[in-house]
Amino acid sequence: MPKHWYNRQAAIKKDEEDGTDINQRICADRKPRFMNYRYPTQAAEYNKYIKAAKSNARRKFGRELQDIIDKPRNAEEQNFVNWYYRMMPVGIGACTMNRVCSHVESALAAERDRWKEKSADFDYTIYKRGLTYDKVLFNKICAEVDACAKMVARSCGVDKTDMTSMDTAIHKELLYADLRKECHVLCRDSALMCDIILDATYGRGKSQHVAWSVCGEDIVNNLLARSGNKYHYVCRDDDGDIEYRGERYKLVEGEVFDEYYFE
Amino acid sequence: MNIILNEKKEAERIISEGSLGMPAIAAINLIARYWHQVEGVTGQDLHSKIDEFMRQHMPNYNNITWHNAVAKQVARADQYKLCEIDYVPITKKELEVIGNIGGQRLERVAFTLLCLAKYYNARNPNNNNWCNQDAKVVFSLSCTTITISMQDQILHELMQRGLIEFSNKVSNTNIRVLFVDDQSEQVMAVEDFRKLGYEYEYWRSGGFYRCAACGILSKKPKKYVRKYCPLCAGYTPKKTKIVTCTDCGCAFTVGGSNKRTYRCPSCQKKAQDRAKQLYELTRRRRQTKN
Repeated sequence: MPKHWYNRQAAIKKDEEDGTDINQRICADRKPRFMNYRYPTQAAEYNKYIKAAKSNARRKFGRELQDIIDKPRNAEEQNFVNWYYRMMPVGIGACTMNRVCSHVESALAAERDRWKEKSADFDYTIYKRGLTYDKVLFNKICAEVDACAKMVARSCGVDKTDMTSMDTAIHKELLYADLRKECHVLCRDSALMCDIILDATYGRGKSQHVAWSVCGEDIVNNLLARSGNKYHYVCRDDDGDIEYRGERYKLVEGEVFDEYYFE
Repeated sequence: MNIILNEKKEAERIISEGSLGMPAIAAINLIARYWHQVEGVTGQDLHSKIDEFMRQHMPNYNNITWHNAVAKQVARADQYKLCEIDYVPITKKELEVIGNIGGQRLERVAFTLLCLAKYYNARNPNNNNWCNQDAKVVFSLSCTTITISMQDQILHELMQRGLIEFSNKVSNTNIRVLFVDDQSEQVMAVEDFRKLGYEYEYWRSGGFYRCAACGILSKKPKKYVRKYCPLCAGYTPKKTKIVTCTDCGCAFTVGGSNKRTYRCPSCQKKAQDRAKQLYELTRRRRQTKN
């Protein structure tokens, strides 16, 4: 986005070069909100500002920010709202693109809430073998899982100028392999380690990706053991009873005969 | 978030013991500042000294991949003076104000905010009782686990009681403590900033014990006596160990479960080069014979 579109100083300079005043008259003062999807740093700055403003509204007035904007009760709240709009890092005017973005965001948020509600009822204990373990061991493995999750999060935030997405994926896999090694030192039994890691991740609301990356095979073994070594998969069939995106599918049962899955 | 009261002492410990005890970049920052501010080492000498130290005490340290990070810390070595605080004093009036709040969570959070404000006051005389930490860190140090909206409610409650205030800026979430009173009689000295909530409870009513290994406060079990915290109790695998090189005799650090390495990296390279030369010589001799 050319600087003279959103920066007044740049607009003045451009007008001096061109000998007009059109840029100063139409200058936007800041980039519009829909440009968040083009500039990630702008999106991060905007999200940080909104989060801090919401927090400050709760702390200072004991009310949600949207309540204060809709109905300010006194001069102090009105002042807060005025400064909130004045210091906003992006333009939130009701232009067409901003309205389109708001509509798409609210539709996606509604869908995300629906999925969250659905997954809140999910019982993760079907992945476990049901073994008992010591609390000291659980705390130690939790510490390792938290440390690994922190390092994975840090590697996602790293400046990716010199790294490709393949490099990031390999780096993550190395971190998970390190975690597997550390947990194996603490607990030699892989089935017990799987149960502990599931409680450390699903049970504590931490990243489930860690559990699947570290002991995905054990989880699948446990599921097969529960279902009598049978599994179901979807296969395309014109006479099938499942319809999806214009095609028909049917559910087919398979059985695992490999001795690896037996104790 | 690890707040170190006496950075000079911690840097000396890291250098003498060789164990980092914190993320590598934090350790590099500390020793860079120590060597620059105390011993006067600068520029490329400082960079090389840090490289040498990390090579000896951090397994798999690669000076190529760490070059930019170390250079950044060397450039910042004189930016912040080393902090040398032995303890943070808490006075009788401050504890009375906290005790009158009522409510375990509120008291722990108020105590944590007070300790942070006094710590930053000691670091910078112009601080004016600001806490300079995110609410996440404050509640983590106060050992209070609650949701973000509840955190904001607790801070609102403390503000309504006139104990804290917030920045005027909409996007600034810093907190200022209003009940700091350094004139009153000192009754408590806080030396450990890892679990400030527990430090307050320990002073007020006991029910905690200090781990004999790491010194952290933990809740006392009701039915038996405990010496170590849950992390230090039981088998604690060694993360690293020090091995003596069989060729040159220098000490270097390897991973705790490493049983194969017995030469330092430079002697290992020389041994590999020698083995390669010998192999080439033997191969040529065999070819000549045939």
